[in-house]
Parts: sequence; structure tokens; C-alpha cells
Amino acid sequence: MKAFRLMSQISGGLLAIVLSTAAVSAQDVVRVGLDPGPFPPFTDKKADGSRFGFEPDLLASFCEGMKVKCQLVEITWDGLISALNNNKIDMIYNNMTITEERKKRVDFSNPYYDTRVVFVGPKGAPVQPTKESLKGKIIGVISGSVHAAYAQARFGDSAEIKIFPRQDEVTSDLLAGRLDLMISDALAMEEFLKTPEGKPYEIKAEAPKDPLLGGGVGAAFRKGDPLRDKMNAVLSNMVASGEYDKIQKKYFKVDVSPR
Amino acid sequence: MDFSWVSEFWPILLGGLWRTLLLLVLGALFGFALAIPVAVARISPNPILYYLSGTFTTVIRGTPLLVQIYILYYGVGTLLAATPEVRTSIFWPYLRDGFWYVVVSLAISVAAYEGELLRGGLLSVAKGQLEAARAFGMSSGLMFRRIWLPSALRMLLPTLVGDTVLLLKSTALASTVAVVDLVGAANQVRTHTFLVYEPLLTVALVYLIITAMITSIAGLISRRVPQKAV
Repeated sequence: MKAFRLMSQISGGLLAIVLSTAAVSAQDVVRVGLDPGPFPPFTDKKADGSRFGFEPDLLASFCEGMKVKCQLVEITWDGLISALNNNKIDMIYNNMTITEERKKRVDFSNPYYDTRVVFVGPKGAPVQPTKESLKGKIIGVISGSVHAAYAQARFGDSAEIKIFPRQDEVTSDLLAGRLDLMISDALAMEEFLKTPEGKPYEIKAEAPKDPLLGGGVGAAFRKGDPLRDKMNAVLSNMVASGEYDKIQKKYFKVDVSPR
Repeated sequence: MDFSWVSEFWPILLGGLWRTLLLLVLGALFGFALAIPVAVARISPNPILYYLSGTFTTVIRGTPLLVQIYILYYGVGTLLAATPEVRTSIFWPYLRDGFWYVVVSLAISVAAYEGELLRGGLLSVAKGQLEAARAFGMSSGLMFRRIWLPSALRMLLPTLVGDTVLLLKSTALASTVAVVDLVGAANQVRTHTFLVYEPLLTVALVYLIITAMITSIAGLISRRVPQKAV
């Protein structure tokens, strides 16, 4: 009986804490979900765990523009959409490409950047993004990415598609020679090719336009969440005022603004 | 609950089941085979063998299996890949596949855990039995094979079954190095359909069924091998 009373006291206390935080987050704290893995130059981490890169810079401006306090919540990439729909986070902000399949589950903001998708492999023999050319090749992609969906649907029956939780794991398997190719974002790959480890590799091909590769990268919100319209307004303001350009010039030579 | 994806994804699940079973069988087979010399070394009067095997079991049992898999796959595997002789050898197709790194990790882990277990089992076999075997003129090798090891194994059977079930669940770590086992298959379904519960509950059920099969096979064995009063 005593134990029961103690338990109910504890759970009552917990409930009070949960309710009070819920009341605050409904007003001005936005929980932003993103993967803990690095994906330079879009997002990277310093030794102390703080983030830097194009996305964190842009996010700071978004949050300021939306007049909310953004709280980063790290969730593994392939669990982000479920976390959003289970109300663990309020917004996904993690290089998420806008696709028809994802639109069934979440509402996307307008794209906040747009880049190409490329095949990277060791320098030498050329590769075409076709079934015949990729026959028997081992291709690495990130789990749950548009690149994974694209690779499996277009080349799954002629090449072997290997799926990793994070980009740095795909890259290290390519470096170890256990992959023949990797498919990923062009800017992230150019960043990798600039590193000493990336020297013996090159961009073998660019993926042709494909509905599976979607149209630009957007932030994702729960269906019907008005936060999305707020974010879209801030985004178009930032593009119009030149603030977007200022941020992107810090990281990229090419224009990544969505067309 | 939406299970319409099963009709599209069942080949992936079946492939995952096959790989999980293969990991279990190979891990157990190689692991138990290695556990015997480990156990013998653990009770050996030779100090070098004794301390070497002791260090082995302490290190392996004292570190997470996931760390061991990562060290083998991302560490040793990368070193192997940097060696041109290895890359051009006939073993390269195996060495570039995460599957075999997981098999080796599982086997080493089983060898350490079951080696230590078997050591205890060997030590608790009644001395009288071994003396009787010697009195019949059995050589040490014959005595070990016919009397000592079987008695110990029979005594340890329930624990061995439990450890095999644990091994089954450890195989799920293979999905972290891009091996499409049952969990890897469920992850693929998840990323395609954005469903969480359905694919995970499906593979959870499959694991339960395999566990039930392991225990019933063990039940059959223990009924066929009667435990004699000691």
C-alpha cells in the first residue's frame, strides 16, 4: 500500500512536469528533429558537440524570423517522420527531400535548398547511371534517404544496394573498398572529394531527373500545423531581403537556392 | 494496422530470415567448436594457456559485442582493404561483405561465454566418473570425448539453450553493418512505407517463433539423452 502511494505520488509529480512543459512548448518552443550524424557542408559538429554549417545557420535565422525558441532533438534519420507524427518533435529539419511518398505523411515547407544527386566512385573506369552499367556493382546509400529509394527502385535488380544508417559509414565503406559506388548529395560529395581521403575518388555520373529523387529539400511539419506557413513566410522574406544569399555564400560557390 | 506491404516486401523479409538463421547457425557452430579448446585451456595446468585463455574470456566478455563488431568491420576490415594482396585475392568477395565479420564476431563471443561456462561444467563432473574411466584404461583423449565432455554438456544443456536464444538476439546487430538480416529487412520496409509498428512487430514474431523452435529442439535432445543419476 505504501509502495503504491509512493508510486502514485511520483507519477502525479511526473504528470505535472509533463503538463507544464507541454504548455510551454505549445507556445514558443519548437522541437526541431535532426539526425545526430554529420553531413558536411550542410551540417557538421565541433568536438564539443555544437553544430555548424549551412543548415544550422539557416535554422537560426528561421527560428528568429518565426519568433520561436528552437530546441534541437537528435533522432536517428529513419525515425524522424514517426517521431514527428508521434509528437516527439514539431519539425524535421535535416536535408529532407520533398517526395510524393513523404507528403502522404507530413506537410513540407517550400524547398529551402535544392541540389543534384551524384554517383561517386574510384577514379578510372566510367560509370553510367543505367542498369547495364551498374550490373554487379555494390552501391552504398543512407537508410531512408531518397538516394536509397532511387537506387533500390532503379538498380535494385542488377546492382547490390547496401544501406547504412549514416553518410560517414557509407563513406568509410567506400574508402575500405567494400563499396564500388555511393549515391548522395552533390554538394556533400564535393566536400568529401576535397578532403585528402577523397583524392582517389571522383564524381562518376549525375543522376538524371527522377520523381523518386523529389524536388528540393524542405522542412517537414505535422499535417495541418500552421507553423509551416510561418516558416514559408520567413523563407520568402529571407530570400527577398538577401539574407539567404549571405548565408549560402558562406558555404557554397554555386547557388543552392530553390528555383 | 496496415499489412498490405507484406505482398510487396516478402522476398526481402524471407532473405532477412535466411541471413538471420545463417548467422545463428554459423555463429553457434564455430563458437561452440572454439569454446571447447578455450575451456580446456582454462583448466589446463599450463600457466601460459591458462592465462591466455583467461585474458581472452575477460576481454571478450567485458566489452560490448557491438564494439567488437565495429572494431572488426571498420577497423580490421579497413586495414585488410588497404592491403592490395588482400584486395586481389579470392577471399576478397567474402572480406568485403559485412556478413562474415558478424559471423566471426559472434563466434568469438560465443567461444568466450561458452568456454567459461564449459570450464565450470567440466570442473563439476564427478571425479569418480573420470577415475573409473581411467581405471578402464581409457586414454585421456578418449576419456575426454566419451565421458568428460558429454557429462558436462548434458549438465549445461539448459544454459546452452538459453545462450543460443541470446545468440539469436545478438544476430540483430548485423543490421548495423549493412547486413540485411531480419532487422535490416524490417528497416528497409520502414524506410519505404514509413510504417513503424507493423514491420517491427512482424520480425519480433518471427524471432519468437525461432526461439520456440530452439527450445523445442533442445527439449527433444534432452529427452533422447537421459540424465543419469550422478
